[in-house]
Amino acid sequence: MTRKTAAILQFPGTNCDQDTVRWLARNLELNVSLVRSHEDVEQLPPGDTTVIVLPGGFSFGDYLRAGALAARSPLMDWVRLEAARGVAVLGICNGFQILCESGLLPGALAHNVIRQHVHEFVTIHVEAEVASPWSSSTLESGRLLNLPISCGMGNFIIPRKQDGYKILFRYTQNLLGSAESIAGISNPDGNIVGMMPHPERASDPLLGATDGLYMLDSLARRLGIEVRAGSPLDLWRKLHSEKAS
Amino acid sequence: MTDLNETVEEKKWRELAQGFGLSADEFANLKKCLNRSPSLEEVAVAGALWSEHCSYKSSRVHLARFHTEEPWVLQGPGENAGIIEIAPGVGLAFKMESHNHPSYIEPYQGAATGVGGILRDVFCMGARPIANLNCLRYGDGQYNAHLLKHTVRGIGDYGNSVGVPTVGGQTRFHHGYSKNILVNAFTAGLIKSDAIFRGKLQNDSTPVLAQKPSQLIPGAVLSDSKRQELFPSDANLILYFGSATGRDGVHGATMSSDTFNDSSATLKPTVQVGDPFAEKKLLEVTLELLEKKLCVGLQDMGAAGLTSSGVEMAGRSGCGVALDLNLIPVRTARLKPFEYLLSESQERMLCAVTPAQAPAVLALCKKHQVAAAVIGSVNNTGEFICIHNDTVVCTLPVDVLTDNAPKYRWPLQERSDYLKDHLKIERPHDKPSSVDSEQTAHKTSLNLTLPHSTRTTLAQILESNRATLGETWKQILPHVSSWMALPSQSSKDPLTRHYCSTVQGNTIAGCQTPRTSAAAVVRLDDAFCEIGITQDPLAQSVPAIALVAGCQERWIEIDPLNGAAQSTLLLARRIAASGGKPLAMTDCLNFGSPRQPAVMRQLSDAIDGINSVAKAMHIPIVSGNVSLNNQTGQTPIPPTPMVGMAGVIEKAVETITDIPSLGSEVWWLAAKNVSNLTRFEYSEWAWNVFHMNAGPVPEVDFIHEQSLWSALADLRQNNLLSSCTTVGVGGLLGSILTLCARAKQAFVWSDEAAKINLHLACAEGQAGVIVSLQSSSLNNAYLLNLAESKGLEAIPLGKFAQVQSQPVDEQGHWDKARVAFSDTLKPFFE
Repeated sequence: MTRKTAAILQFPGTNCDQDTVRWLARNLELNVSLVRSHEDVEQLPPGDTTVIVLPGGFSFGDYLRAGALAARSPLMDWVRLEAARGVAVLGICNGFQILCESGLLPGALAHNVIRQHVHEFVTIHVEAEVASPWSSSTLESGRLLNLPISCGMGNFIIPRKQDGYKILFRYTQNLLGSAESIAGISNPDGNIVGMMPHPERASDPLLGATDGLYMLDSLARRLGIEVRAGSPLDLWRKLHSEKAS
Repeated sequence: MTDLNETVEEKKWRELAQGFGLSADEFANLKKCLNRSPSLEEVAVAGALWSEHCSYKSSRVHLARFHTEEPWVLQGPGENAGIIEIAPGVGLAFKMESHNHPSYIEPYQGAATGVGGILRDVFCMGARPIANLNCLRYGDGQYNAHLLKHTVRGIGDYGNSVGVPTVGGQTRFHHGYSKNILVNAFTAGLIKSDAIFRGKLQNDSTPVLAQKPSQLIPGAVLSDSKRQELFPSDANLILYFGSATGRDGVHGATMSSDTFNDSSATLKPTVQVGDPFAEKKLLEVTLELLEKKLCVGLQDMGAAGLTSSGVEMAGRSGCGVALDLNLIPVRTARLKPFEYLLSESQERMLCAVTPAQAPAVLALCKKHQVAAAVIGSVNNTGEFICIHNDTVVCTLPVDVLTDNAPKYRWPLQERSDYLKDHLKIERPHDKPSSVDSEQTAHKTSLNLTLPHSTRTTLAQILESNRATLGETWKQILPHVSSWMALPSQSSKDPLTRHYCSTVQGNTIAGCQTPRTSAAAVVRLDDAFCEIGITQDPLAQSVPAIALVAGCQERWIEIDPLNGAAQSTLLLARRIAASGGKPLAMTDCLNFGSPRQPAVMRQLSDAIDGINSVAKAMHIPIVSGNVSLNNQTGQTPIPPTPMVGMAGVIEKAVETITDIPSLGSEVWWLAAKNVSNLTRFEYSEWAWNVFHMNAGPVPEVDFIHEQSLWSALADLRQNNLLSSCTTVGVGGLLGSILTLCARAKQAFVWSDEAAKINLHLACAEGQAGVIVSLQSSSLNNAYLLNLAESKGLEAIPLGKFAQVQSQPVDEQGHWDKARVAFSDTLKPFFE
């Protein structure tokens, strides 16, 4: 079976790129490539990219607004083309901010209502089970996820046009002041997802948090990607199927 | 010091030198070394390099006593950071540095640039930073509340943006820091042990040429032939990269080396401004440059900027350096030559490259969007030469600046006199208005005092040294919430939620993480593992690094020697409790003015105290920093030799958590003669209830400590240990109460615990650990036997229980205590 490709975008100031690469490479039978520029894009096997992740960090130092400069970089034109082709795109934290700034997702992220950077484990509720390759795990126990947030601008401002998005995740406690407690949304097709919490940091039993694996489980099922034997996701699946049966 | 025969001109120069931090004697010494009058720029350079901050002139003679060598030390003191081997072929580089003075003047930028500086110290050796810790000290009142908020924000914003997790540290409050807060930042980074870079200008293989002085003096216009001599075409080049140079931080090193007076507000422009995005780019370009071996040597521009990095690199290589100041990238016009030299603009690096390497380095910097320029050459003059507008402004022999830097042996107070003077230390009194206003005190101002009613009740209970924990517990419980509301005792979560502790995805235990441990624990990054996640997806064989930092200043003030030993040993015990083996430490020695003999006694004895632990437990000191003159007027801060320590946990999966699980039996494991190794009189309880601490501090018993550690190792190897944490501040009682508040549980004392003398339960010192076992009565018997065989005592303390399961009249007290613990510091960040 030929392996599919996942592209992890890295802008200057992105700092969750390595964790995100590891998150995918460790759990799924995927070729995972860091993409920094158009030259890197050309190195990818043509038409083979099925997953694009915009990791967290402080792209371009949050100058102007978080995500504003990265959104206007030429690399985003490629993301736009791939997204239109149906590629599964995920923006985490700063990646979410970039997706909103670039217009791939509606809305905007403003300063947290408490006016400070917050790093904390929070609980989010998965709203739309069928909408997206990132949130359609069939496992019932995946409904509430415990994931860390770490952001200064995570306060989601709702777009004026109500039909341009679907709510995927909601905080059970709305620390940042997001409209409708929104923690993550997708485009109407469901293939472009942005979320503030970090699933890639909660996918390892050793680190005491595994709920981020829900998203990979979902992705693997929807895109037909094999799970690596002996990986945290493999164990997680076994554990959850035992619970279910 | 004034000479009656001094001319007007001489007086002008003496005062000018003073402005650059040189004393009259030092200025005279400089003139003598040069055999001529120095230029303004030379005075500036000498003033910066001979400052306390750069030269350690008052502490050097004492620092030389440190135990610095063990087989696993790859790089000891003298470089930008110390390095130890943490796994085969993998080094851990780490160091701690102070940024006290700038943080008091401008808390946000002062603290942020403190983090930036220590990160650069670590990554300029080629190490990728994997963890930050910070040790903070504040006093009381409104201004300290302001400092608390903004230093914490500064630390968080900088570290978060660069992408290095802030995983731990220690924050305490004490009146003695009200006018001199402490901000000490620690960074650890990983490095392949064959890829360590040092700050030098020549390859080790390059023959050292005989020195040929330039014969130039300041004011000379540079001829073409002289230019050829100073900038030889085949010599290594000096390349500058990073942010452009501005006026920020000019005089930073001399400011940091001085005491404060009433006009310190005017020092604000000397505080640097940080840009974490520039730092992140600098980090990536530096590591790529070192990985590709594109440079000969590299050093960050820290205190005293270009001057110190240029001179220190030349000093290490025994050669000379010529810089053309006009080639330096600038962010502001019309910089004066001395401003180029003293600027502490952040996020800048200086490196030496061969002429062949230079184009590749410049191209790499361009790729990362980092400014870069060749600004000078290495030569064999043995001098630090600076050219501005084709005119020589500085030709100082490097050895004058480094080897001939002043060394002071300030007088020490006799140890016996010091101890006599400090037998009793009384807390300064609060203003009466802030004593009993429980409700409003914290909104705007830090209050470090227990409510009057609590103090009176606890004083009555604690007066008798015969009462037991069981007899008094019912009277103590209603006051636990007041105890927990003291800023030092309360939860630091309102601070640590500013810190991203999980970035990089390797934090096993830190602040705001699902798991916690007695030390901060970070897994070895996959990129540095022999068996990576490709072969071992669950990373079962990967080791972890245990990190702790802090200090017990109250013990040390009473007895700097034994207090520092006890304090350092407590840190090491925390690594042992987390399942690790302590391997090395770094120090950040914060003291008052060296001109006070009592302060010098503190410094000297604290060094010996730390050193006794280093020798006995084989935990060498591999790097460090000294911050003196932390005082306002004649009052120094409490002696605060902060220590950062690193250890290894052989398998990350075997990290021990610190919170016992609900319902499991909790034990106190300590020396049989624990009452001789600890004292109530210098405990946090005595300090807050009687407003007094008293000595003496017992000597450390290393044999007992080794037994304790080997008992813990035995329990771990047999998979019996379920949790382990040290008995810390507040003694056994304080530590149990903190665990309760963190776990949101109540505690039910056992019959054995009820018999413990109350003073002993509150005592601090070498007080052992609190453990819980995988439950089974067989395991309990094993523990008792093990303790007996090691000369220890294991006392069953009781169990954690749900608050709702407690008698109704007690539930409210437990709930109130938990809320006081978690909420006390929250309002300071709103």
